[in-house]
Amino acid sequence: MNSKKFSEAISEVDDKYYEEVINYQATKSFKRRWLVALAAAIMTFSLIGAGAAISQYVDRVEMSERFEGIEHYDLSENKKIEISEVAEIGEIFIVPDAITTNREKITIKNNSSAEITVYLYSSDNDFNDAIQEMKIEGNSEKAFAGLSSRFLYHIGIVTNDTEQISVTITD
Amino acid sequence: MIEDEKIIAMFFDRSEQGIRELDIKYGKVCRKLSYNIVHNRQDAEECVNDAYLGAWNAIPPAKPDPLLTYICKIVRNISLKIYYRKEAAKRNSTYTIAMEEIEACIADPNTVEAEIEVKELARIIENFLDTLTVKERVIFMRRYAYMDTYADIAKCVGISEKNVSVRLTLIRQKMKDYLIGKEVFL
Repeated sequence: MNSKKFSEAISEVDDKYYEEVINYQATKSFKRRWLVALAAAIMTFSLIGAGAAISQYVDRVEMSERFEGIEHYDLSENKKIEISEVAEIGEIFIVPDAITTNREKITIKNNSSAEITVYLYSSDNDFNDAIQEMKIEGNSEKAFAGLSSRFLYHIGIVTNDTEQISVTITD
Repeated sequence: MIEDEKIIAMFFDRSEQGIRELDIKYGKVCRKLSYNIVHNRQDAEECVNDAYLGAWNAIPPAKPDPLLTYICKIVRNISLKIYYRKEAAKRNSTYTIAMEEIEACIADPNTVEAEIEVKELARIIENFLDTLTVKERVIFMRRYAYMDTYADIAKCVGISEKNVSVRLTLIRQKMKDYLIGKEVFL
């Protein structure tokens, strides 16, 4: 076999091998991906840091006129509350911040594997009389619906497991 | 850029605009492929034009899909013919260098394998290609089908030129072992 015959044979190989070359997209090298990931991580942490600072600033100085003088967490402004606390079995854990929202629902995502019961309270009521309650299975989410932005709300969480309560509350 | 189907439709309508659109879309790739073989701009241009004419005569009835592969194969075959016609005078094209690389792992023509048909050899090469990873196959085909330089291959597959060189050496060695295993040459 000489190179000419080899070359002729290469011309004869199935089109799919030629197409594969044309359609091939190089995957980024690990090194490059790693650098991109690092840059993304730095940017994310920077944004989180900046977000946290802004959030604290907003919490401290910016109250809506309606709830002036009442310290609260505006979900529509701050987007979400992350709770990660160890709770006693059967004991209610009250989310520290009173909450307002511009939307008609508040979504609770249960990030732990244990089922939790979540209670919604109006700030006008005491904590023995929940407006709504719902059970949320592990690693799933549900929402309190039909809410009004005219109220301040509190949220209480109960777990029958000793696992840590881990939830994300969003608008 | 215009879709392949529309270019082919123009060929079917015998509209010369189809050739112009084909050139706008794939002319650069074709000229590069041809130049890598014939190593002469004017020859490459002529090869590509001849390829367009070949496509014009073949479509219809042919309805190639994908069009790029089809036209590249025509360009490659025409360019190889030109190359062999002028072979004595030219020893500096990418094709020459690529074929010199491959000579090391193929036998002289006075052995049993000299009888092997091109088509049969093509099937054996296909089977060999199937043993490679996608990346290896792309590197191999870019080098020995599209006649790309190491630099172009490196850019395409996202590795260094040195890495391309090393990988090609390993692939050629693999091919040599494969061909020996298939008794293509002894």
